[in-house]
Amino acid sequence: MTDEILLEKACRGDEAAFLALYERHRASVFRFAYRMLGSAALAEEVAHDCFLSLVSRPARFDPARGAALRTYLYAAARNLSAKHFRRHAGDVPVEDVEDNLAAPERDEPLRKVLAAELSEEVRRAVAALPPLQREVVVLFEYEELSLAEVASVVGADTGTVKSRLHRARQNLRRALAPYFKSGGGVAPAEKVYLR
Amino acid sequence: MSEERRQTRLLPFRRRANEEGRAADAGPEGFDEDAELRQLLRAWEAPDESAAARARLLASFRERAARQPLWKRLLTSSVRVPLPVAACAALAFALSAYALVARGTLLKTAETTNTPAPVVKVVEVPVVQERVVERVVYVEKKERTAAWPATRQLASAARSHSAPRPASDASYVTPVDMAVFEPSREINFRIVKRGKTDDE
Repeated sequence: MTDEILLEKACRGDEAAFLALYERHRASVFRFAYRMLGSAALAEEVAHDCFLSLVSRPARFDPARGAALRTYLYAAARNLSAKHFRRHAGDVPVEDVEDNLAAPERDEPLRKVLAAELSEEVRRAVAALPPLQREVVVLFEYEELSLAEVASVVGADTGTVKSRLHRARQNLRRALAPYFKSGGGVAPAEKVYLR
Repeated sequence: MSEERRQTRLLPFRRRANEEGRAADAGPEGFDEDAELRQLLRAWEAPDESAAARARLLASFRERAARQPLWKRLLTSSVRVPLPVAACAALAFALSAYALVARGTLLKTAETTNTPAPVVKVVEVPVVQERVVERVVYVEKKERTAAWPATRQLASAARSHSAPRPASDASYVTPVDMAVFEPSREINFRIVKRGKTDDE
């Protein structure tokens, strides 16, 4: 059953259809919100509002415009995340960091500790990116959307998305330089520039 | 074949199409070339959503589905009001209703007392011109003549005393009592011209 039919049924109060829609898209919406906000609790809140607004105001999603429901949900989650950014500017979610650090003590301690450290470093590097760069990195690198889809979600043209992605990668390489096997975090040309 | 199964079977082809799309995105700028960075980024994994989130969302969905339209809620909703508040409200309502009724009555009486301004209408009516009409009434006066026999005069005098004269005669006939009548010894004649009084 297609997303559109499920949505139509869910809007009429069909719980099974709503659950089917939710199960189909919840993971991607939650992951995106989590990586944007850095907090599982906030990401759950965003996903909750996202799916509820989908059935409350279904007219906002227009399949005739060619956008898939997944893209629409990403865009809705992006807007809600931006709202959280504005509301909780400067807040640092602590609970998720603690969760990540608590995991390694079960088995293979050294490997787990190293993995947890790397995970935390990556999280910090992504969180340190400006929101516009962060969203394109999350959508392109983590959610594996095409450039056109990313452009559709963020409401910009493909060239702008490419530019943001390029700058985001440079920032990430710089922040995660010690973890690259090739030795240098920055591209050779940039190395020269920094010297 | 059910739609869901068809979608599931199409999934690998979609993934391949997506990968092809991403390969096309790679293009001359080489966005997919940074495999090392990508591998490093994968070290940060997102946790799973909690089961409570699903239950919470489902509860919100059920609540929304059970919610009636606004017009239906407005028609069927009820409000609990404490008794003193309700009594005060009822009293205030009664007083205001009474005040309204009284005011309406006053207005009605004021309307009745205030008679509308008279409408002036000029109507030409024929004016009756008064004029004094003088009429000269000549009353035939019976002249007394000496030739009349005394018996006849006495008879007429007696008739005047005995029988009442009609009302029409009383206006110009003076009743004369002839009992002490005595003829004058001398008579002075005086001639008065017509239209002149005696004194002139």
